[in-house]
Amino acid sequence: MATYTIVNKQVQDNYAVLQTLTANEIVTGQSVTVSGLAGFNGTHVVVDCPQFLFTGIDTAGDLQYNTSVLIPNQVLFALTTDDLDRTAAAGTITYTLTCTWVTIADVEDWLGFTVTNPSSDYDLLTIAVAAANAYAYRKRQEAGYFDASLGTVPSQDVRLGTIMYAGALYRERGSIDQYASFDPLATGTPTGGSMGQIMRLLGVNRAAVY
Amino acid sequence: MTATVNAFTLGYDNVVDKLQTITGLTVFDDPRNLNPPCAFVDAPVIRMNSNLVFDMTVTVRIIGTGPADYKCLTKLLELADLVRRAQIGLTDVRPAVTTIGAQEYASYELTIGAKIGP
Repeated sequence: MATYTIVNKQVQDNYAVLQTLTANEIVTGQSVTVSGLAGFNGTHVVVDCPQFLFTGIDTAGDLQYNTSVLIPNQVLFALTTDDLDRTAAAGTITYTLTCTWVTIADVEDWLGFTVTNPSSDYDLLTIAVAAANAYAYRKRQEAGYFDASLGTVPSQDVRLGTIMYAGALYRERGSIDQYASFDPLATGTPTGGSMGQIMRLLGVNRAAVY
Repeated sequence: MTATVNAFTLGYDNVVDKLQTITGLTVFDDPRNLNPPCAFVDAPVIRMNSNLVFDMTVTVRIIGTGPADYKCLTKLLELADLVRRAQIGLTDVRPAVTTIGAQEYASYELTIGAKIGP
């Protein structure tokens, strides 16, 4: 979850534009929650992240900008309300990602055993699954994919990559650079040894141009 | 079994056949087909007592997956115990690292002895 401070607000032709104090990771198509800013509060789907002053829409409904006025860190979304000139504002935009592409049961199947619940191992597995889900979504986002659903995995290769990463994180408990093993059975396997395969399955890091 | 030209092969195949009847144990006799967790029957060691009678020692490798943590160990011991319960001449059980190609697996080496003769 990331929370950004709002410093400016604007409404034109039923589109609201909020400017955040700092650069943000919000991208078009994702949901954000505005709070502390009367008239704007609620969850909105981002329509655009413009770099210029928003001037309204044309007769075709396309968003129009004044490209001579550069304004960074803007988030634009639909909001049916009266027009409001750009002015200072206070509030927050919260961007929350709770990805649930793979489950504990998926990872247990991959590991080949079940983990007793409750136990500290189960707690760790829960964290590993959540971490792998968040990592997979973030890395794919950084690589230019837009995965619309946080609850449904986009494809089976991504699913397997996420499961493998969660399993690796779980197995790395107590390890630094190699997996902790019984000495007579130690294979010297480095932690992260599967990362190449995991990243191939996730489709990252591919070159992305923004 | 008669010690014929094929006695060595027959002795080895006989051990493989007996292992493959064990429920819950996947047995391979060809390293290219390995799919751990499983048992792999290694090449036998043969000691001749005479031209007809010989002792065959077969090493069965119980191969686990992933790093050799407690979960892996318990799985290896569980599979090894299936071999013990089959009562086919198990004489020794010891931890090991098995290299198949360039891949290392946590494993257990099980020594099975058999006397082959006419």
